[in-house]
Amino acid sequence: MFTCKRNHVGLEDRISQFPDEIVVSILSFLTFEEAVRTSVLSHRWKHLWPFFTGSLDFDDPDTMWDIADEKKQLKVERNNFAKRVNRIRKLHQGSNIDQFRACFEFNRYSKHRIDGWIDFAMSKRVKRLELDFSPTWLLWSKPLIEREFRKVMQYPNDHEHLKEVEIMGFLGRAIDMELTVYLLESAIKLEKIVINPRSPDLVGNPWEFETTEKNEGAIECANQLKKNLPEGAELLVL
Amino acid sequence: AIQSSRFSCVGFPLAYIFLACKKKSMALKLKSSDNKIFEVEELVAVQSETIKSLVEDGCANNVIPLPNVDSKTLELVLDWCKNHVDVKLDEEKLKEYEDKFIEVDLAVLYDLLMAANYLNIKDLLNRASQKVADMLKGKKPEQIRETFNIVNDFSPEEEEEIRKENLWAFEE
Repeated sequence: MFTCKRNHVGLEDRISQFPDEIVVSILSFLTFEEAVRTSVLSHRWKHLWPFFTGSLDFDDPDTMWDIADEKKQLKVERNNFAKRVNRIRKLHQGSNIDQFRACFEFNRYSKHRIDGWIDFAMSKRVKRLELDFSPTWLLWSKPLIEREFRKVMQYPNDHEHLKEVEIMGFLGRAIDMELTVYLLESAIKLEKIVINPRSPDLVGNPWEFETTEKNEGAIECANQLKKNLPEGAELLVL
Repeated sequence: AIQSSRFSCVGFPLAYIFLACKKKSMALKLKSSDNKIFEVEELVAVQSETIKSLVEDGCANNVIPLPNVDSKTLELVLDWCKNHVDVKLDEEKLKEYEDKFIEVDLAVLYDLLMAANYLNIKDLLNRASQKVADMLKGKKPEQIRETFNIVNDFSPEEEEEIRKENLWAFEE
């Protein structure tokens, strides 16, 4: 039934003879980068990584810090980052993914790109979606989060797959509350929602104290959401 | 007349299957590829989606042949299933069991993967996949090939070409 390829040690290469679904199941427990690297193992492995169903994690903190230190140019690197995400978006063939995570500095001129990524993530029935387009250390760039949040909410049939949601930069305004309540009511598989009134970049910088004080109102608002929580779900306010 | 005949056609076999299932619901007989018979509780066996659908279709009254699983592997698989009948039991203990269970030779691990896939036992497939993935982690392609005896059938130029396509993933 099988033709066994043998190498110099005389042991079988059984893993390469497995059906695709087993190899893909194995790949999906690796990081996305590691999964892509298996493409050079042999012809058998070359075309399997696009079926990866684990965590599609696009995060490049090293480059972000190089930009902050002016060793690299934001415009060039941002473009490279977007190209990479778009290329993977085109090549990915699996029907679902566990996580989609994109962290890089973007501004409102990148709207159409970001919309495309959300479309992609939701069409793959993503369970965890994380978007962070804030710069490494600048405080007062306007967060995009409200726009993205609205965009995700446009998928009445797809965001029911979301299991874990973290909302960063939650300010407790009426619009924040409205969108979050809507999410809580429609994401029926939700297990955990994390509300983070602070942007993660603020932690550990000199302005932290001031910002924390300002956010007490937001924290109070977030706690009020407990009554809208679906059964079995957990709310964590940071 | 049409009504009543339809009733007897559909109603009779359904009732029959129901009775047959009820009678046999305690134990199922599974036959491995090397013709060993395993008698197991239905509750244990139906963790395999493959067996479950056979039972639901009423095809499990006699011995269920499993031509793709040998007796050594089937014994392990059934032990896994027995320990997962009630997963709420004790999470810590269950994890301990799983960790110990999966500490096996590569050859046995491969057999478990094939069996879990064929029998469609999701948690076993995941645990075994994760174990293999752990063996892949942090290794360079050359080391992975060595661990799993994968023959590199690319020319150096071809390999370089593939690296270039996804350069970002290969950068240190």
